[in-house]
This record gives sequence, C-alpha cells and structure tokens, in this order.
Amino acid sequence: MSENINAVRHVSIVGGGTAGWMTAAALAKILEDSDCVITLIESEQIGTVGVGEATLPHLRFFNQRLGIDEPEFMQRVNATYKLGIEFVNWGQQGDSYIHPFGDFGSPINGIPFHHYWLHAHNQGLKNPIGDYSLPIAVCEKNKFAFPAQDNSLASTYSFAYHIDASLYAKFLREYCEARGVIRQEGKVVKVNQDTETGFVTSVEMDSDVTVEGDLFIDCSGFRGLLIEQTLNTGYEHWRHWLPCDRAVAIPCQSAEEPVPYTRATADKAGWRWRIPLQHRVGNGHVYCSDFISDDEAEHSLRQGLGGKPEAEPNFLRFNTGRRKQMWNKNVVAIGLSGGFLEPLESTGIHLIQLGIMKLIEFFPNKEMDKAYVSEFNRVMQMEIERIKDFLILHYNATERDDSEFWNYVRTMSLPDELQRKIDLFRQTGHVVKYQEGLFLEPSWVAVYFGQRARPISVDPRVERFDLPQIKMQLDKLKSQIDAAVLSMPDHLQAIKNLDDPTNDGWKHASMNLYGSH
Amino acid sequence: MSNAMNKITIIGGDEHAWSAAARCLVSLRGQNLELTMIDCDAPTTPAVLALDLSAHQFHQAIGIQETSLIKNVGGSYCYGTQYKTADSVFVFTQSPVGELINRVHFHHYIARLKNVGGSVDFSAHSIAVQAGQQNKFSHPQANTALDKLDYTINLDRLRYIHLLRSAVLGLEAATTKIKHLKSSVKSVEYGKEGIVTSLILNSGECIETDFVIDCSGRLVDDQFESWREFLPLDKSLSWVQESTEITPVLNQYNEFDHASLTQTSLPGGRFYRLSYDSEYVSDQQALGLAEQKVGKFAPQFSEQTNHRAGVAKRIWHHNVLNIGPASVYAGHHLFSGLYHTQTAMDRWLSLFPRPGVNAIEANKALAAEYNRQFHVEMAHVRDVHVLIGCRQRNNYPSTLTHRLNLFVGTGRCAFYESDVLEPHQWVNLMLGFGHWPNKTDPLINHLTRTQLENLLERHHAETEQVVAKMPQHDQLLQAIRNAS
Ligand SMILES: Cc1cc2nc3c(=O)[nH]c(=O)nc-3n(C[C@H](O)[C@H](O)[C@H](O)COP(=O)(O)OP(=O)(O)OC[C@H]3O[C@@H](n4cnc5c(N)ncnc54)[C@H](O)[C@@H]3O)c2cc1C
Repeated sequence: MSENINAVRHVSIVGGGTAGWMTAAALAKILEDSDCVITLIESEQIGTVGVGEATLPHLRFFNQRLGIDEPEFMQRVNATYKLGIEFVNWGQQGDSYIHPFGDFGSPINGIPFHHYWLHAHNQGLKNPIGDYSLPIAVCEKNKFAFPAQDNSLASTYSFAYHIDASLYAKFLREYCEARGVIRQEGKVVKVNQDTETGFVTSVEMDSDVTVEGDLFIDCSGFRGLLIEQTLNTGYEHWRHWLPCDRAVAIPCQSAEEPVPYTRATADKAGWRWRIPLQHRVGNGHVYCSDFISDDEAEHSLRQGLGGKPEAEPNFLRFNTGRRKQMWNKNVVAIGLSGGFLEPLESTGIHLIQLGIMKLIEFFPNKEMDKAYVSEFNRVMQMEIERIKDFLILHYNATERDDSEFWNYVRTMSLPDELQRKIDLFRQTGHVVKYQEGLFLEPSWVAVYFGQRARPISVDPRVERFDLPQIKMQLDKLKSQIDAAVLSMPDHLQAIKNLDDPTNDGWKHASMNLYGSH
Repeated sequence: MSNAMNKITIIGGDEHAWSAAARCLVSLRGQNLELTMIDCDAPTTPAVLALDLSAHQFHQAIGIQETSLIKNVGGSYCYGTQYKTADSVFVFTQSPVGELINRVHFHHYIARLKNVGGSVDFSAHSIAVQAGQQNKFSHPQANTALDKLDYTINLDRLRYIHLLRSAVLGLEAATTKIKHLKSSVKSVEYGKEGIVTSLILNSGECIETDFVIDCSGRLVDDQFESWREFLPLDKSLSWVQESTEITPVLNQYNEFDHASLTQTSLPGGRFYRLSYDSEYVSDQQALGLAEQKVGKFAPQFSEQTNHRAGVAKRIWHHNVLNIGPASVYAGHHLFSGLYHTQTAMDRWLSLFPRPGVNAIEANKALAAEYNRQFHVEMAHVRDVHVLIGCRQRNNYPSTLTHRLNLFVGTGRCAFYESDVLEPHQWVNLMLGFGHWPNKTDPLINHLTRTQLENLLERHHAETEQVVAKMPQHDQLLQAIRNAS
C-alpha cells in the first residue's frame, strides 16, 4: 500500500477476547489491500472474561463497516434486541425505570420537554416521565420494530443487541482468518523491548514462537501484559466513586420470552444484571467486597435466577479506573487493559469500538508520532471520564439507606465536574449539555428522574401553563405512543422476522444512541 | 425584583442591544414580558456588520427577510476574507473546500501531493474562493455542487440598527409591553446580595427590573482576562470611502509591522479599519499608514478607538448579563461582535434565570454554568484570533499549539468541545497560514504523484465549470434591489 519505509508492516495483537478480535477484524478490513501482517495471540489456558453481552447501538455501525449482514450476525450470536436498560430498586427499593435508547417528548419553544413534565408533575400529574418515551413503551409491551428514518415519533429511538460474547468472538475470528489474520495459540512468557526507545519489539510464547511487531495492541485484559506489566504506564483508580470490585456470573435457561431490554437490579452491596438471549439468559452480580462476601453475592444471584443454571459460577475481580495513557510508546491498550468501568451502562464494548476507531483515525507510522499519541490519549480520556461521571450518578442519586454500601455511595464526595452538574440540576432542572460524549441529555434526564432527583425550580417560562393545558399535550403524545406500539410485532416475532429478506429496516436505522430525531 | 422573570431591561442603543431585544421578544413570546429599552449611546458612526447564516432564523421570526437586508440596508454578500501577511496570501472561506473522496478528507489529497513534490493551490478547489475572486455569488442550492456553500451578509451598521429597532418596536403585543426610553442610566439600586432592583435614569425615571442585559459596558464586571500578550493591537482607526467600483465578495486583511488593515465592502462604499499597537505606532503614524495603504485618504468619516483584547471574567453576574464589546473583544477578524451577542443570548435563553428573591442560589448556579460555557467557547475564539493575528508562534496558548501539532503531524483536526469553527474551517486557516501536514491519511499513501495530479486537475476543472455558471455579485444585488 505504501512506499513509506516507515509504514507499520506488522501489527501484533496480544489477546483474543472481545477486544482482540474486534481490533483484528477492523484492522483486517481497513488494511485489506495493504501488505501489513496482523497477528493475534491468545491463550486458551488463560481464557477470556467473555461476559460482555449487552451492547450499545454503535456496535451496529461497527458491524456494518465490516460488511457484516445483521440478520446473519444475530443468528450466529443468538442475539435479541435491546432498547434500553431497566433499573430496579435504585432510587428506593421497589422503584423501577427504564433508561431508553431514545428521547422523552421533544422541546417546545426551545425549552426541554422535561421542564413541562416536571411542572405538571409538581401540580399533581401522576404519570412518570417514561410514559412519554416511545422506546420505553415498546419495552414495556415487549415489542420491537426498526425505528423510522424521518422526523416522526417513530424515529425517536435507536436499538442495540444482547449477544453471546463468546459466539461473537468466534464469529469475528472466522471473519479475521478469512482475511489473513494469523492466529497464534499459546501464552506470552517474555516481552522484548528496544533498549534505546523502550518500544516493544517482540513477544515470546511458551510454544517457542516469537512474534514481532511494529505496533502492539494490548488486548490482554485486566492484567495489561504490555501496557502495564512491561511499560509500567500507571493506573488511575476510581474505587472511591465506583467501589464495586467483583462480579459473579451464572447463565441460566430462559423461562420466559426474551424482553428487549437489559435489567439491572440494585442489591445490598451492588447490583445484578439480567441479559436475555435467544437461547439463554446471562446473569451476574457486581458487588463491593468491602460489604459482602463472595458466598453472599453468589447466593443473592442464585435467588434471583429465573431459570435453571447452565454453568458453574464465574468469579471475576477488577479495579475500576483508567490506564494513565492508553497509548504508550508502540503499545495501544484496547479493552480491559485500557481501563474498566463497571458494566452498568454496557459501555465496555463501546469503549473498545471507540479505541479501534480512534486507532484507525490516527494510524501511525513506525516511529509513533507524538501528535497521534497525545490526541488519542486526550480523546479517550475525555470519553471515559464522561462515562465515569454518568455511572457514578447512578449510585449517588439515591434515597436508599438500607445498607452500609448505599449509605456510602449516597454520601461519598463526588468528582467536581459531576458535583457541579448535579447541583445545577437540583437547583434548576438544567442538564449540562455536551456536544460529544456518549450520554447526552435524555440519558441524564432518565437517571435523574428515575432515581428521584427532583429540581427545586423549573424553567419559569413553563409556569404560565396550568396542569390541564400541559396535560392535554402530554395525553396527545401518550396516545400517539400507544398507537405506535400497538402496530409493532412482539419482540420474539421481530427476531423471527429476520428470516424475511424484505425486512431490512436495520440497514438504514440510525446508529446514534437516541435515534435520528 | 418581582416574583416573575418578566421585567427585563436592556441598556444600550447599538446593534447588540436591539438584537438582544429582538431575541427576547421572539423567545419570550407569551410570557407577559415587560421589556424596557434604555436607548443610550446609539451609534452615529458608520461601520459594516457581518451576519452569518445563523441569524436567518431569528430574522425570519421578527419578519425580516434576507432580501430586505440587501434592499433596505444596503447589504452585500461575502464568501470570506483574503489574508495577506508577510509570509502568506490566501482566502479564508466558511464553505468547505473540496469534498470527502473515498472517506478521506480533501485536504489530505492536496497535502499528499505537496509532500510528494507536486505544486498545489488549495484555493483552486474552492468554489467560494474561485467565485469570490471573480466577484460572483450564488446561494447554496440543495443537491448540487453548491449545496455546502456558506456565506455572510455585510451590512451598513446604522441602517441595520434602524431596521432592527423598527422591527422590535413593532413587536409589541397583548402579552408583551415594550417601553422605549431615550435616556441613560444615572445610578443603580441594589437589593439583597448585590441584585439590581432598579435603575435610575438621567431623566429621573426609576425602572424596576428583574434582569438587566447591559450592552453599554456600564455595569460590566471589572474582572477582566486580558489577551494582550497574544493580541497586542489596541487601537484602531476606521474610515469609510466612497467607491464606484464593483462590490467585492471577499473582504481584505493585510498585515504590517504592528498593524493590520481590513477592508469590507458595501455597494458604493468601502469600510476600512487600521488596527495598530500603540506601543509602536502613534496615532499620527497610523494616519500616515492609512494614506500610504489606500492611496488617496479621503474619508467620508473617520474615527480612532481604543480596544483591550480579552474577556470579562463574569459575563453573567447576579442579575446582570453583559454583552457587546465591553464583555469580549478579540479584534475584528472572523467573528463579528454581533455573532458573540447572538451566542450570548442563545445561551442565556437556554439557561433562563429563575424569578424571585428565593432563587438566588439557583441563579448563581445558572450564572456559573453560563460563565463556564462562555469561557470554553471564548478560548476557541481567542485561538482563532491568535492564529490570525499573532506571529510569535512560541507564545501560542497550549490548545492552539496542540491543534497545530496534531494537524501538522497527522493532517487531523483536534476535537474540542464547543468549538467555534467547523473542522474544515480550521483546516482552511491552518493551511492558509502555512501549517501543512507532513503526514496524510494512510488510506491514500498508495496514490502516486501522477494519480494525485490527475485527480486534483479534474477536481479543479469541475470547480471552474461550476463557478463559470454563477452570476456576478453586483448583478444579483441589483436584481434583488429591483424586485418589487
Ligand atoms: C462483570 C463484567 C460484565 C461485563 N458486562 C459487559 C456488558 O454487558 N457489555 C459490555 O459492553 N461490556 C461488558 N463488560 C466488559 C467486557 O466484558 C469487556 O470489555 C470485553 O470482554 C473485553 O475484554 P478483553 O478482550 O479486553 O479482555 P479478556 O476477555 O480478558 O481477554 C484477554 C485475552 O488476553 C489473552 N491473554 C492474557 N494474557 C495472555 C498471555 N500472557 N499470553 C497470551 N494471551 C494472553 C487471554 O487469553 C484472552 O484471550 C463486562 C465486564 C465485566 C468484568
């Protein structure tokens, strides 16, 4: 592809989990016509985390870029659709709300919808704000249809999938091998570095194979074999704000039809996930070991299982935080090696995808230009920090005082940026806006109101409307939503409809978090 | 202060004040607004204002059509500015130059050709620049090669103020009261925690108020962040000269030692502004320079003004919002002062203050957020102006240094929150000032010099064909003026 003698000719990826295979697939596609060699090393003996099963709509963009056919993909990974996450017991025991991939109402006279709802609510309106979001209504009725592409109500949402992560890695492995990615099975036992630059030059495996590379992608998981164990890059710990440090996962048989949303149920010292797939249900319990034991965590998870367990419990340990530089010398950390935010909002795979896209955008020459490295690190840090703040909000915006854990997170000190955002919301109902960043206004609105954070004041411009006036508008919106949902097929039927080649709404559906509206 | 947020007072009689008033009236329709305009310091000196496309919607809302800006306010169209400095001559245009080819931005192709030894001319690929240089103009047209064209309208300031004032005063309605007072503020009465409760006017009248939008600089907070170290030109001499020549579609910017000269045009006249650093250039020398640069110095009007580059630290303080030149000044380059007023008003409306004495904490939080957002945006404004106006590259703000390093190193534009230019506009500026990427998108590294030359030649020919069909600017203006 290039006459440039400095061009990267060998990319070596250490790790064959979701991060490793996604990176390999994207590079194989983008470097298809080049003479660049891609090698991926994985060790069956070490295995993968493999629990990342709930995704965000952006993954569809990734798959489409690879040229993957969505119906085939869904069948291969036993996927179901996902329109959001239901949060149970977060604001208070017994509470429940859905954080949807979509918006609530739409602004009127430039004033965000939630001010109108709040004003009506303060005057006695009983309906929760979720009644005015189409994807929430679709979740509640267990239905699914592809969003529309116009500016209508039917375009106000987006969708993602629940997938079997190990099947996805297998699927991508086939994709990669068909495109010439070399797979090396075995354990890396030694890492060699250039004595002058400190760049990683090769890795040696227990099979006596040595794999060289100009660029190394560290997808070795939490251990960060290259980025940390070799380059000592450093890790910024976020345990103070995101104290959960363990998880236990047990898949079980499905006892009921799959719903088009993930469920996250707050527990005594953490929370439990439930991810419906076509063939089974993924379950797990994320918890803080300072407050409960592994046995208690497992017990609580087992009690909540809806069906017969399909495997032995898989215990995982982690430290929330971020690698201080995700790109250091000629090593780029993608996946768990780059940092870990707990899976509350299914952001793990999204961050992998983002890292890959940015790596492609700043694809380096052999000398690893500082400008690329610093921009990559700056943008990745900004993204992960923003997601971090949004996750912390879930713990802190609560009235729960029924356990030590909840007392801690409810009263802990917050990052300044987040404190500022929460203060402004509590005072005025204003949600601080970003241009970029993953979670925008609708997401913050969902969590704030879903978890009982109520502003002291609303925008004074909505105060001139009395309850009947606002209610008339809200009722109209609600009946439009109800009518739209009524015409949709059941979720399971929608999955079956994938066999129908004319059912190709996925091809054009918006891939942002909130739909095209 | 009442228990509603409807008594709003605007101090000032310039374009900022009337534009702020118009925004209030449109956005606060039906809110029982009682708007008091304290019409002081109405300008008497001519100037040219530039309005970008974002002003359209707001104009439409107050019943001003674009054609009436051309017809009644002596407006003309503008595609950008030609910059001439010691080491660069180029045109900056708001419109994108070239398009995405095979998912790679156009400038990578140009930079790649340059890097493999070819000769390049970025402007040759810009419809707006080519048209501008031939004094042609066309509006954007959907689904054609012209669909991404962007333009501004240059306007006679005094006539525009007049038009806005009439439009605003005509918006009085059952739920909106407008009090227009030709007076100025003598003193201010404050209530709890520094809140302005009423304004006493020279006429003796006392105006009770919930919120004050001050465009006069009278109530401006004295905490100021100076940008003088980057932007040292602190004085200007401006003048207007008649012209019978055609109306250019491009403004001019010429840089000299410790001074710069801008020229903006309207049908029949040229507006000049010579900005200079008073430490090096005396007022007398400025006059000499003006004469030397424009030939016969025969102004219909001229004026010398002091400036201080920088921003007020607190734009929104208590219940006062400061807008206009007293709150931000960065030179007269890419952003007109009116642009800042428009964004300032939009932001204020999105963070609308809470009424009543019990809302002090809420308003403090809103003001803090307002000021934070403002300063994020202003740092970008500063960077743009520093790139244009500051030759000491070792003295750049770190954000600008990062932008330039990234661009030169990779051909990519850094992403910053609340940026004020589109990436393609940054590219245009950076290339124009000689910051060429020494690396380009790897996806096009396989293209040979001949392939690149052929591709760019084809593109240039297509650009020329499009421009050939565009009408002459003056003809278009004439047609608009003649239309009934
Ligand atoms: C409890 C939990 C739940 C999660 N849920 C979600 C979710 O719902 N949605 C989501 O998007 N994300 C989720 N995530 C995150 C997601 O699981 C990860 O982002 C994803 O699995 C990527 O992991 P990885 O590939 O980086 O690491 P791993 O899966 O740990 O893979 C590491 C790879 O490196 C190899 N390796 C390591 N050391 C060596 C060595 N010395 N030699 C050779 N090979 C080596 C291993 O064999 C393996 O192939 C969750 C994470 C956890 C912990």
